[in-house]
Amino acid sequence: MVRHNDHAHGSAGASPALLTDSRLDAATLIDYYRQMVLIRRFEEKCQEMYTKAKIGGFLHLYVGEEATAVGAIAALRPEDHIFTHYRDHGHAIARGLDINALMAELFGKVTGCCKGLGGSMHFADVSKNFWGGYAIVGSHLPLAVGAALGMKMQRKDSVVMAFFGDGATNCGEFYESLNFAQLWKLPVVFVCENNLYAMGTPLEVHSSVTELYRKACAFGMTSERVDGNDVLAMREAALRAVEHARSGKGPVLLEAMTYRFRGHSAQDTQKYRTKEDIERHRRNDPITRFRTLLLNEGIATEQQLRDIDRMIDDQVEAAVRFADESPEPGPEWITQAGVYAAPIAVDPPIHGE
Amino acid sequence: MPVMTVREALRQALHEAMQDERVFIIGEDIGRYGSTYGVTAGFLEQYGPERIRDAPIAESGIVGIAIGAAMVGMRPIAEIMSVNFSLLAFDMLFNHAAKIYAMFGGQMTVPMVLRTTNGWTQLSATHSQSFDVYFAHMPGLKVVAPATPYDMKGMLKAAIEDPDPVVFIEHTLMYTVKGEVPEGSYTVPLGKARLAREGRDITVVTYSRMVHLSQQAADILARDGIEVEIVDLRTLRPLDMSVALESFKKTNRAVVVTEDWQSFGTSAEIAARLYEYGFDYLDAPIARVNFREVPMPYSRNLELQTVVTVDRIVQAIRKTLS
Amino acid sequence: MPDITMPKMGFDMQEGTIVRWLKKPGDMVRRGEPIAEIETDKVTIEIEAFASGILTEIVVQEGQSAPVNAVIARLDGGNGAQASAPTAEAPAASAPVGEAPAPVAPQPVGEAPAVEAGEIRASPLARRLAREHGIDLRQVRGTGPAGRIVKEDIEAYLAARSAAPAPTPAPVAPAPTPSPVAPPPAPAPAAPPPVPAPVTAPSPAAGVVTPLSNMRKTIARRMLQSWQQFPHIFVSIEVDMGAALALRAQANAGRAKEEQFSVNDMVVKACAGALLAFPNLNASYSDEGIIQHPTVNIAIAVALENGLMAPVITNCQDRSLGSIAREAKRLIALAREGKITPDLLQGGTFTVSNMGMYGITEFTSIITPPQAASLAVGMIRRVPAFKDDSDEVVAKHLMMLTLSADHRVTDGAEAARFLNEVKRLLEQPLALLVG
Repeated sequence: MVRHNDHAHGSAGASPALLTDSRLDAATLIDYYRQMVLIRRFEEKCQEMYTKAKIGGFLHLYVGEEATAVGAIAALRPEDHIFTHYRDHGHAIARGLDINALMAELFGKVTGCCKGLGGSMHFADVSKNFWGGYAIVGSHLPLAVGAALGMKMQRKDSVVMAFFGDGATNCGEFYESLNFAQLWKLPVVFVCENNLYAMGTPLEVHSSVTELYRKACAFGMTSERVDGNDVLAMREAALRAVEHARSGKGPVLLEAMTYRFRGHSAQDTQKYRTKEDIERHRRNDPITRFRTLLLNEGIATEQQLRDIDRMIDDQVEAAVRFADESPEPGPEWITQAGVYAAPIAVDPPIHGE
Repeated sequence: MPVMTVREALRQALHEAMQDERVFIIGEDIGRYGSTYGVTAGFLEQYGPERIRDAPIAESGIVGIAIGAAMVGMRPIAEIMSVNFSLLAFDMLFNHAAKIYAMFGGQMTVPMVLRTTNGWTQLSATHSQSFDVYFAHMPGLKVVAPATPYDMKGMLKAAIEDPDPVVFIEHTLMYTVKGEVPEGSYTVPLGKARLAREGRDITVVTYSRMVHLSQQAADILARDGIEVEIVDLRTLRPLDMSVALESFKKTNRAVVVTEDWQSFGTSAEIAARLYEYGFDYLDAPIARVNFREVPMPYSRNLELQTVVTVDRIVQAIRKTLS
Repeated sequence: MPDITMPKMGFDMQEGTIVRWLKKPGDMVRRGEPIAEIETDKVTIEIEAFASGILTEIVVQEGQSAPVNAVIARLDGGNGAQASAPTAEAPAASAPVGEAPAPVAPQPVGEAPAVEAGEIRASPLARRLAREHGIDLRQVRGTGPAGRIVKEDIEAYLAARSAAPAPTPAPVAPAPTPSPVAPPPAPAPAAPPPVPAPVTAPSPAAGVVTPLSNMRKTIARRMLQSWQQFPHIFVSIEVDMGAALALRAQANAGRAKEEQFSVNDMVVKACAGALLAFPNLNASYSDEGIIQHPTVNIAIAVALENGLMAPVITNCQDRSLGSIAREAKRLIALAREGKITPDLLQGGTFTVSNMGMYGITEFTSIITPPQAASLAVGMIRRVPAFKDDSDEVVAKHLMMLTLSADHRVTDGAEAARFLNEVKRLLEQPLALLVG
């Protein structure tokens, strides 16, 4: 949860420097740590459950990119909106979606966030203004722009944050969306998670310009590159972008530099990079970095963080149990009533009813 | 009752719809240009640029924006000037508009309307197509293609009010078709076919502009004492076959007339349902009249041999009655 | 052209009677679907189609009989491979070797019509209408493209038919032979009323003639065959049933009703035991030699209102008395309810016939071909009799058993030894319980 200006939980011995610089209290900082670890543990458990065939289909893990989601979403208010891509577990958790419902969704159960109809790539929870993971690369960006147009026309000061990867910046929809958003000065924050690979194609092989934030230049749009593995830097940049958008100045493109520790999906053999590459990047693990920072700055003790780790282990185990014990969705979801908000009965009926 | 053109009926529907603050129109050249087919001419002046949004030529963006806005509570009407351009927006329609309700477990709806037009007149291969069957193939979309000014107005109103995404198919050669339209606001429900003409000898099942050509064919055959019954489907998804089947059980013979290619086209589905549910009433093979299966030629002479004509409908009916 | 023939529903069935057609001409018939009820020798049973198609003609009308394999109806659209199952049906072990099939009556049907039913072009609607009105589509001239019969043609046909005089039923049994290319409006009789008359000519002037039921016919045929062809010998013995009755009373007292056994069950059990000892009586005669059957299948004669049937308790050699009793109860109930299926009447190797309940003290029975013997059981009489060799008079329960045996298979002495074994088993009945 995002906790602005919450001074109630300052730890003894906290470094005034970090608290002052970040304008955050210790409890909020520790909560970022908690969110990142929760994402990591959830993803690791997903991998395990996938190998146990509890989870089907594709599984795209967010391991290594946690700081980007947690930092960026920390800049949002509850009334702001999120559209994201198929690697959507991290954003959903950072937005506070119930991990029981997320695990149940992966297990295809009716208690899932989408009743078991969406699966890994399509997490959504309207009550959190989390409008969904979309699995056609780049194609959700016009939807995000449309939602921003809706906000603007409804005279709301909500902002829409749209996540996508480096690969999506080559899609036509990306350019159409940037043009529309800038043309109509819509409150969209485009967050490009540059993890250096479009599936298995390296950045320099897939994009004519590798500094992706520069792609905003063609539209006269404000843009910025940020260290996506630094949760506080990510949050700072997102705050600037959100404020820009909310104030009516139009959209912003953020390029968050990060790295995907796992393959594109569960069955990726990762022939396009070496183990050494991955190990090198692991030294820049966003969670290790932030943990060390919290300890060095005296924001939290080793014991406190270990307690959090253990609590998260329990929470993830409980989510697996919840998912396992939940019932399957019923056949009503494969009738016309599952397809339409207002199904129209015809005679003779459409097959499947 | 006032008589007006399809164009005017559509304009009335849109004007009435604009009374709802959530409704806005987005499309290419709908405002400053004055609207290619004149349907939204004058709207920009009346409702302003925020609600009459001239869009860049970016069909995917136009439809995607309409979807996103619909999800957060707006009632967008996206106009794709020609159905030929809608191909660029198919991903938006098929992967998003049609899926969002079901895929996210019923959490959100997409109450948008996509208005677009079929049509041809020496526009050649890429501008003379009909993709009715693509839209109608897709669960999650509702697809309507009315024929008369009355239905145009009433069904467009119903489509705008509907919580699901609706593809509303017009026809460039139909905007000047006239018909009676009552005063005041009304809707015509989606998913209900209608009997367009009564007759006892043969059933023509059709929709959109082909209803009018079938009427002309029926007039010609009436001189020979042949009574043609015409069923106007009006909605392609969900397909209401009840009226057509009732007629077919009476006449036992049918011709399906659709303005698209025959193979795997809308007429294939319609005929299949007649066979499936009317088998024991079938007294002759069901005939189909459609586009010839070629990219539309530019040459006027060849074009007229490619499209559906009154004469071809008359011939098909005579043959089916033989 | 796929014909539907009278199926063979049992190894000894020679002809059957159509009780009821379940399909009309013009009806769609699906493979495996019941098409008619036939009465075989002793049962009424549904027969199924072995091919799909339109039933174009009923050849054998309701109430008429036809020999096995005779055409009873014609089907259009089948693949011709309609298996009239009989050939595939393996005869039971106790196949009646000497029993040559009776000469098959000439098939009562004309030549195949010139127009193959499968070649008729008719719209689905026309076919449905024809079915509903019992019209043979071959009678209708099509006026549609390539001669397709369409609705109008059926309507014209119907109009013409109703205008014409009512068709007179054909004088002979076969269904109206369709004229191959009848002119279109010709009023052809569609499915004439059932002809109830028997095939045979009426007999003497005076008196009432009751047509023979199939069961009656079967009894007549087989008893005549047996009486004429099987040289019978008869051997009787009197059995003291005192011990058996006591044992029965004692044993049944502790049993549920359905588990209780009758005197007849004890007789059957005793016969089974004796037949194991005298396999020559569990046999059939053939010119090639005596066929001893590997299992003991005892038919029990059950009197019915109109006749008699003898369902078979199979494998008596392996059955306990209780098992025999249960099976007998089941078979008798089925027989009385008319639910006996042909397989339950087949394969008997010996018959027990009991008339004790009618107060008959003794009688002789006719052997059921191709068995070698049958036992007639009389009533148990309570009579004063000398006790053993003393002069003391006591009450005894005596029962007369009379064996009819095929003298070609066995002789009087063997028959006597067999009867003595039956007697021994009944008079020392504990063996029946433990056996």
